[in-house]
Amino acid sequence: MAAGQSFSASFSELLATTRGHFAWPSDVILYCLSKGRELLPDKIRRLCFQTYLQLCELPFETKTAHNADAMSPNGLAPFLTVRIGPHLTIFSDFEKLVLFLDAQHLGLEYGGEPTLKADNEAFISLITTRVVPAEVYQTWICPKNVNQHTAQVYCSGMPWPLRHIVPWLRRAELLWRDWKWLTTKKEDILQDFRAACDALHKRLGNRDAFFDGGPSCLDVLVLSHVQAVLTTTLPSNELGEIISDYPNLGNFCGTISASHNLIIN
Amino acid sequence: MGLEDEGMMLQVPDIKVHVSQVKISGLVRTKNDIVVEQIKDVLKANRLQDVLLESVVSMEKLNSLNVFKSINIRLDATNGEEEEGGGDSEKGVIVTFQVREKKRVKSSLGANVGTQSGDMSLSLNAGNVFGRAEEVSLVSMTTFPHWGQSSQLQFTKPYYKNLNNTLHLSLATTHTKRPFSGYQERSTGPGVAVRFPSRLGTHTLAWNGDWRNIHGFNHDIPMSLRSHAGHSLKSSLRHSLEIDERDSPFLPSSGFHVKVTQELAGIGGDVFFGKSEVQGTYYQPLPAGWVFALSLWGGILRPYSNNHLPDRFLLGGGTTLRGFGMWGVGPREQGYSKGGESYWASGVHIFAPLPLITNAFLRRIKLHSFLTAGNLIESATLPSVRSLFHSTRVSCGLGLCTRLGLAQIELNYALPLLAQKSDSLQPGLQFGVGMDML
Repeated sequence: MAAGQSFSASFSELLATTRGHFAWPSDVILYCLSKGRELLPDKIRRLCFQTYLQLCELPFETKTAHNADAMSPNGLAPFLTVRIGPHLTIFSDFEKLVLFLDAQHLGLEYGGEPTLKADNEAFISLITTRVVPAEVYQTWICPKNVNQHTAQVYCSGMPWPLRHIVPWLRRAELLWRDWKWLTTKKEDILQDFRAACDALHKRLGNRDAFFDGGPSCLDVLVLSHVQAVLTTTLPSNELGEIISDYPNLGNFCGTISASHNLIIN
Repeated sequence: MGLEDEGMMLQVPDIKVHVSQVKISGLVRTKNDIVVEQIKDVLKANRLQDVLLESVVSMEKLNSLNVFKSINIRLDATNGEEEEGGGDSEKGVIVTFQVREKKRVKSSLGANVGTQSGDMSLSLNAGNVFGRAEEVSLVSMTTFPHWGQSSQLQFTKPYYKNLNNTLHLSLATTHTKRPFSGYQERSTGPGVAVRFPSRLGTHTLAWNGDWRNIHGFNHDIPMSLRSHAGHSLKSSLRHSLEIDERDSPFLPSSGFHVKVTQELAGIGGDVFFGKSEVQGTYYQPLPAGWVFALSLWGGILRPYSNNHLPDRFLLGGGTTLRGFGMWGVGPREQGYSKGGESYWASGVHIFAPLPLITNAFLRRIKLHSFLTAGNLIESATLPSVRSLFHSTRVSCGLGLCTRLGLAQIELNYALPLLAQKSDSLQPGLQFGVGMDML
């Protein structure tokens, strides 16, 4: 994708030019999908942005739009607009925002033991490889959920006959981009998800954060995923049932949001 | 003995005849009813002159069906004794049309070069599909260098009693890239149109359903453009009236051409607006083959929903206000044209033939000098419409122009005279190609 490449280039330039001396502007806006159109993966991404910025104590304003996903450069909501120099820069990728904030020393830097830093990164990649696909599966592939929930939510506000076409087109696009969905078995997906939860459960134990030195990016990710999965309205929420088997993950959400006065909904 | 043997240029004696039979031979796929409608007037003629005249008129009508490769007329005298009711003074004639039908399928390849881009089209036409002069065409067009794509399947059917009334059904899909506004548009949908001439001009009444997806924004696109992103469905009724009183559509020297278009979107779908546009040009011949032309365009758009970005007016560039960048006039943000909801533009041209040129082809190239003016503004409310005339842009220049097929081609040296800070200017040589040129 040409647009993606040009962004990567400008992003590395951005990191290089503004490194370390960037004052967070006051007019930062997070554009989210309106609640009626928000699906599980959208909500998780939104919680990631919101909790991360809240934990960093960086002020931002939230705006909702029914077409926030289409407005976003990568087609995914939400996205954050930050005025850097004369230009408005858009962060639609949470990882890029984290990289940027770390480079500015504004982010939640990993404060644990240096020897465990690799573990921290391993857990983050565990979430992207095991947890995220399970959520996409539940939202877009699982027939019951797609028919009873996703299709209606995704097309909410669209006129006839688009509301009968667009969701299925989006699903077809997803399948076309990644053919593995056609052959994936639900059991395997759920098994992977359970394994990831198990690993996170063991690491977390009864602590307030995954690693010493306060909450980091991993805590934000776990919090967002667990909170969104537990509160989702999907008709068949097997992921929620799996997470309920690990009560410390659910409790973690409560304690971290209470201790840092986070607003997560 | 056939009359045609004696030649059509002979003086036709003024004798009373009566047409006893009109025959048509050579029909294979064409249905009788549509052919009969075109040739039935021959039966009414009762003088030899009229028979010949009506036959030629009928031949023209048959020709305009666009289904025959060749048409010949043959007149035969009947044998008087066999004819019932045929008095001695009236001779019977039999008129025979001998036709040969065209091939079923035709394909063609075309190319065009424009201001900032060119296009290539591949078309496949099937004529006389159901035997009543219907035409089905499939046209696929690619524009470069931005690689926009469009494909259209169209069915056209003339009304058999009046071939100028036509019905068009179409299904089109286009993928347009708009680098000057920084977005891409994918649109798909059906359309129905009826064209009919009246004493005033040619009317077109059309309905279009357009499923549009605005996407592919660059990273630096302002939020005001970005907010139009996503899927929308435009269902609109459009009426246009075209009055063409020019002496020729190719570099006319006198007459005028007016096109008035109204569009109302919101009959179903979720795009709501009303839009009117007028484009008119008047030509006045001057001595020594010079021609003066004055054109006046204007448009107004009243949106009732926030997803009408592709319907907004754009102004500037080699086909409208010369001397400005492509869509370089009017509301712009970070270098991208947002388009506006009302505009006016006017052009004064003086065309002159190239001196000392006798070659017929080169005589079609004219020298022209022009003065263009106009303005495009963000909104179309009453107080703001007054401001349309406050910050007028003006440009002038001279160059060469000609017309190839439907497109007018110009190579100009243009200079903007009055401009606003936000406009994109392009003084100097400018190349322009378009069907409608200001």
